[in-house]
Amino acid sequence: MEVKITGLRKTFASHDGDVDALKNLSFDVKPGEFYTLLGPSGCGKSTTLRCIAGLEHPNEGEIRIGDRVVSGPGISIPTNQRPISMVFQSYAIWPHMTVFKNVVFPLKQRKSGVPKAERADRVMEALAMVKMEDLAHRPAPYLSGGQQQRVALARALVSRPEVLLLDEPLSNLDAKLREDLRIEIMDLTRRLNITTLYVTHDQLEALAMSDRIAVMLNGKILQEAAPRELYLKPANPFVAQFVGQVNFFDGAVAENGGAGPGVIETPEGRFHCPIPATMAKGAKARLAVRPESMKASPQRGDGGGNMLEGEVEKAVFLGDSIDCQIVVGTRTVRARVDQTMEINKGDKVFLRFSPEACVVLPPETKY
Amino acid sequence: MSPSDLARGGPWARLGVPWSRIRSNAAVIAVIALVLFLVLVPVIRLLINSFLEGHPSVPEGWTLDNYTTAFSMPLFYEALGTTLWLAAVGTVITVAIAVVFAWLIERTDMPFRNLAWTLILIPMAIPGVLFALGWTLLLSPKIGALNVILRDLFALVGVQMAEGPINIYTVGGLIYLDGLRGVTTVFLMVVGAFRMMDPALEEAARTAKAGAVATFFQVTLPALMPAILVAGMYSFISSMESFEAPLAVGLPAGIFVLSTLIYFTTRIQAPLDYGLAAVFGVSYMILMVFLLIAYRRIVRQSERFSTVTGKGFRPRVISIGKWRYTALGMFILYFLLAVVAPFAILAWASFLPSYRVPSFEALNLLTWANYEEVFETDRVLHVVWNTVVLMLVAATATMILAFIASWAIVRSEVRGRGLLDSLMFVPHAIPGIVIALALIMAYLSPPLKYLGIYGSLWLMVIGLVVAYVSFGTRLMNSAIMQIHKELEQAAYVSGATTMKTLFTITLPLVFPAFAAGWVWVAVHSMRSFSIPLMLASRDSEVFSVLLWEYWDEGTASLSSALGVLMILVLIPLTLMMRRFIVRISEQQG
Repeated sequence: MEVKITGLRKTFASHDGDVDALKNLSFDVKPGEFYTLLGPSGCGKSTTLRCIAGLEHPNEGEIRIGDRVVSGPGISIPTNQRPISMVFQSYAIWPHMTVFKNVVFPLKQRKSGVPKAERADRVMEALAMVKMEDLAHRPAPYLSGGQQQRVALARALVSRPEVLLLDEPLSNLDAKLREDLRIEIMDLTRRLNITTLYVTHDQLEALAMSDRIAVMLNGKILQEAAPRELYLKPANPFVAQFVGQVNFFDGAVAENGGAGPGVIETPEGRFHCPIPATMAKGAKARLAVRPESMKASPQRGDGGGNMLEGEVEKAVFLGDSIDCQIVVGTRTVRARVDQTMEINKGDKVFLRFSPEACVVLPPETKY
Repeated sequence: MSPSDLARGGPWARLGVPWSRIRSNAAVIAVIALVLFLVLVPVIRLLINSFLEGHPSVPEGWTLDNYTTAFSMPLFYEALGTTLWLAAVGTVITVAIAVVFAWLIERTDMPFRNLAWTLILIPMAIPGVLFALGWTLLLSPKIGALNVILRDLFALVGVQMAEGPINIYTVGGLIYLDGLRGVTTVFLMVVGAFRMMDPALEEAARTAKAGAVATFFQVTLPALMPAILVAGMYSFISSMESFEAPLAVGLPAGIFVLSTLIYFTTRIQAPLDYGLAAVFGVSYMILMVFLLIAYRRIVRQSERFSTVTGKGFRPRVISIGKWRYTALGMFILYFLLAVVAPFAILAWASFLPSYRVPSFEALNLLTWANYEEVFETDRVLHVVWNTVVLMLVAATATMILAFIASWAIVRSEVRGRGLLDSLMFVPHAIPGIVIALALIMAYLSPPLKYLGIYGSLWLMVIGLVVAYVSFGTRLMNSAIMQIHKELEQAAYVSGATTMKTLFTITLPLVFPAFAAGWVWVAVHSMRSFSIPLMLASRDSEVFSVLLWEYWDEGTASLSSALGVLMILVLIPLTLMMRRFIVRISEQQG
């Protein structure tokens, strides 16, 4: 089922007047798509999800699920009548019930239309999906965090919803468990072909799980793209920074190469890179290079592309790579270096990166 | 309203509540409307009637006479003065006793501290009217048992007296009763502060070379002052509302307070004057609202400064040496006066055919006859039935209404929830006698008189619901606030309606608080006196009213037998609620 958001605006009252939590937000989730709202806390991603669920009420705009308008001018379908289910950050497992009773709850509501005789089978089926069928009759307070989240997932899936809303479901779990559940959620939603809206502040989660990601800041979507494109072709400095580590070099366009790479002049040097057609010569620009695109070596060498020269300030061994901070002139540049390289504090290094690894962005703006 | 509000179409558009949302919350809205109706209609009716002449059911037109009469009546000012004086002096006595006991029991090595902790709750089990009646039997000038003993003692040294030496039927007597009566509540409100106080404050004083006494007066007491002030203010407000002792002891002596003045004007004097009573009621209510606003201020202030952290220290027990036994003696004296003496004299009276001063000769007359009569009278059985129905219905209705109203206050996002919270607080400011008066007026005049519930048990139920719904709401507010919102939201997204969610998710989760509140309201309904006394008719009498009527008719023995039975039921109930009573008292505010 498609979810279509148009012109959503939501204000909250605060001490100094009303604050816009969502500003004219629009996006479109295709049937069966795994769509993630990614952003720092307070960016409005949870508010958006809660508006779709009907737990918050937008001031303006329209929310359409399938071909039904669930929220719009003069319309607000109550939460319990929307074709959705939801998993909460706090799990929201009812402590006065067993696992089974938690999961059967949606089936017992009037509109579920599941006959009594079928309910037990449906519950066990949902519990089996999250590998919890053995614990069906355990009281909820005796569950671990990971088990609670599985029950919450089963409870959301048992009514076979067409739209599943997940509000930071993994953020209260430890790292290993988070990874396991990440994979399970991906498998389940794809297998059941559920339209999924996922909210998170963790860019790794977003990149790994999503078909498409919307990066949000201050109630607006800054960029909407597939994970790969988002990472490799961020549209602005905030997105570049938020979905991974990045080095910025501020400067101005020195040569606009037309179809080929041009040149940007920065205090750190002149760099070859693809310049967007919209940027004229002399325009301010910000060059972004990911640390893992930087190739380090103790010799100058003669490889092509761009080069920086500096001294190692810090080198942290991470196992699969070495995270280096390298002083170049008056600033620090970050680089991810091959883990086999001998690199120590105080070493002189040369960093090389290709024009293709560069992304040219507009200068820092207010979002 | 700011200009941007106007641009968006004014406040109603800002509320932006579409019809479908109102409809899905219709049940909740209806319940809140009912609560507001129950609370506000009588208050408004009281205001209206203060401007009407004649009996409420047949008003004779608008007038300001009620106000001019009331405000030119010396008795009104006298009653007002007595009310304030009584509350002020009574509160000082109450707080002094309670603070000393809180310190002794919580912080010193007084013997039997744990037992004292339990015993100090028992005064709660003795209804105010029985406490007052017991003391009239002990201290009335001629036949008071204590007076007789004192006269005998004086006679030994050659002083002969015909009556006295102590007369309970005085303002001093009322102050004594009021001062003794409030100790338990104030004790419970301050004892937590004594327990939770950071011991480092006192230890710092001791290392600064202060002695034990200096430390208590210069550090402990000032640090606990906010808590004591709150408790004192609360005690003052309760004393302002007291009705039982002023009725049993004050009225026979011609000493009026505001509550008995209203009772006198509408139930005793001839002709009855409802308009005048309404003016008294309105004045009384306005006075109490101001006091309550002041009280809430003080509570908020004291929270800001609290040195009492609630971390649950185990404070050092202070050794008071040979004073331990003096302390125990003080406690025993208090317990004798607050519980043993009044209960013993009532018990004595209940075993006599007619009242006599305790003596060895009178022992021969002791009999079970009064109890047999109590259990054989149809009237009593009827009254017991009424009382049980009143307790069950009032407690259930109060708590369900409080639960739903409180849910709306805590959870709803609609503007105006703050107003609802304040409105739910209003009945707390209205003394029982004024609630009863307002209900009489509301349900005697059209249109509500066509309901025909005036004089029935149901009007009493409404009265008790109004009287206790503030308490219930406050209790449920703190319980619901502790329930994570997402537990309810998970039910909505599972397809449950608001009402279904309230009763399958929220209520089970707050059930301990709900049940405790239910028992509290049930017990208070059984003890309640002013509301049933004003509202009961012959058919709808309840226990406390019957007890008073027997007394008023001069059958003190039957009345005492009823009283003894009532206390015997209330003591275990009170002790059962011990943990809960303590919790409620600590968050009184």
